[in-house]
Amino acid sequence: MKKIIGLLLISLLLCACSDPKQEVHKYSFFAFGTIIELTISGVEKSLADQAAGELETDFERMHKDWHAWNPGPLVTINEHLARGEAAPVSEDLMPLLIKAKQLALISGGTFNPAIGGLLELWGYHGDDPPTRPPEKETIEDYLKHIPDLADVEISDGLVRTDNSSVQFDLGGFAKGYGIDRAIDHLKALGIENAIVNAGGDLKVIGQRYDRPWRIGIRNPRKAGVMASLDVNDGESVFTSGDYERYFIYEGKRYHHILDPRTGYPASDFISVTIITEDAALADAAATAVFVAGIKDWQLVADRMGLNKVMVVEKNGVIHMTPEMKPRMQMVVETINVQDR
Amino acid sequence: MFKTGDKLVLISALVFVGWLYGQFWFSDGRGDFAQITIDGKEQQLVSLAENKILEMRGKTGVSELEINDGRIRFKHSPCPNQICVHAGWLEHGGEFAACLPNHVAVEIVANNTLFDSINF
Repeated sequence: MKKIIGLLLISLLLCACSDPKQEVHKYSFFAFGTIIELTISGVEKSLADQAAGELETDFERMHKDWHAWNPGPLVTINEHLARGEAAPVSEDLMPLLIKAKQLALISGGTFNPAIGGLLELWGYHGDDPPTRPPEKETIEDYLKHIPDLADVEISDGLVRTDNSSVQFDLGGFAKGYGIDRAIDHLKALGIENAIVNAGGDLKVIGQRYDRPWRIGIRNPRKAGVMASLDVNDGESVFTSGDYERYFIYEGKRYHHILDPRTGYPASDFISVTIITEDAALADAAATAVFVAGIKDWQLVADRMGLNKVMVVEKNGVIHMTPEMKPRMQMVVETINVQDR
Repeated sequence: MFKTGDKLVLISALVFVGWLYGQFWFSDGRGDFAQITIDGKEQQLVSLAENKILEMRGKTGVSELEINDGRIRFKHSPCPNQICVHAGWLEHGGEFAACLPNHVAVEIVANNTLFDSINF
């Protein structure tokens, strides 16, 4: 009997000695105006805890510095531009504005980080959702001076433009840029296997201890997921959907992804998913392809150098590029999938 | 050759192995628990086995979470957008919803987690 008890005790001890490298550490915190979820594998818990703390501080600082309407560095720049003056740009913000301009130019204007004025007209510069769309005439007036990044000069620590309606709002891109930075920070700490997910958009490095990182892509219209996807080392997965921020006015749904060409919410798609390595590019591209609509989405994807794109039309029809199709394991059968 | 006792041991061993096989290979990843996070710090694990309503006090008020038939959802939340309520029922490992203004988040935890993260 003593032997049996001894054996049981030894087996209990063995159970307690699981390999810390085979554990997955998960953290979630509210920062950057959203919820950040951090998943780390392959390191001791103490290092993962440290990384989570440092990333939370990073995201809070980026949120404050890049905010489009709360007082801070970006708002100060916008105030200068509204007065027709050249605005000094900090070293921290400079690469962000330069990249935003590059992405706007290659997107053919479907991603426009200077339409802060339009978003404000729609009531998206506040914590409460809008209750009604702006008057038609107000939008028409705004479109007469629609900001074009080609007219914005960024050099020598200054940003200048002759168009006083240029107002930077980095909402369609800052999250991606921030996620890229967070991943760099993790790598600098010696973490090689992780997922950084900010409000549903994510980038991964490495893999889980036993298999590639596996993510679910949420169904844009129902609860649950519509597809499963194994994400490779260094890839970002970004989705723009009409279900994220919207309001209903007189029975019509108005969402926050505005088409700079019309001044109204882009109307062809309910969601667009992009896979590419650069998270800032993925973020801007998800908006750009969404705005481009059924007629131009392939053209815009090509211009931005993307080959893994999925778009979901209002009627539920899904289109995928040939490179995207083998990556997506669809879990909904009712949706009609078509080749590009 | 075998005594009754031996047969019983063999049969129960086979049934046990069969049960384990089913657990490990055919589990659909449905979660047994939900992890509720308030303000990124306070965390609690709740069982999805018992149907009930939970009232979680967050930053701006009370979020009402409903557990029913192994699933959980935001039933009411004091936020203007109601994105958490529109997220609907969560039941599979890794599925997730959050009320950002109230700083309340819910994630399904399952032993055989289907997804490491959710994209939306």
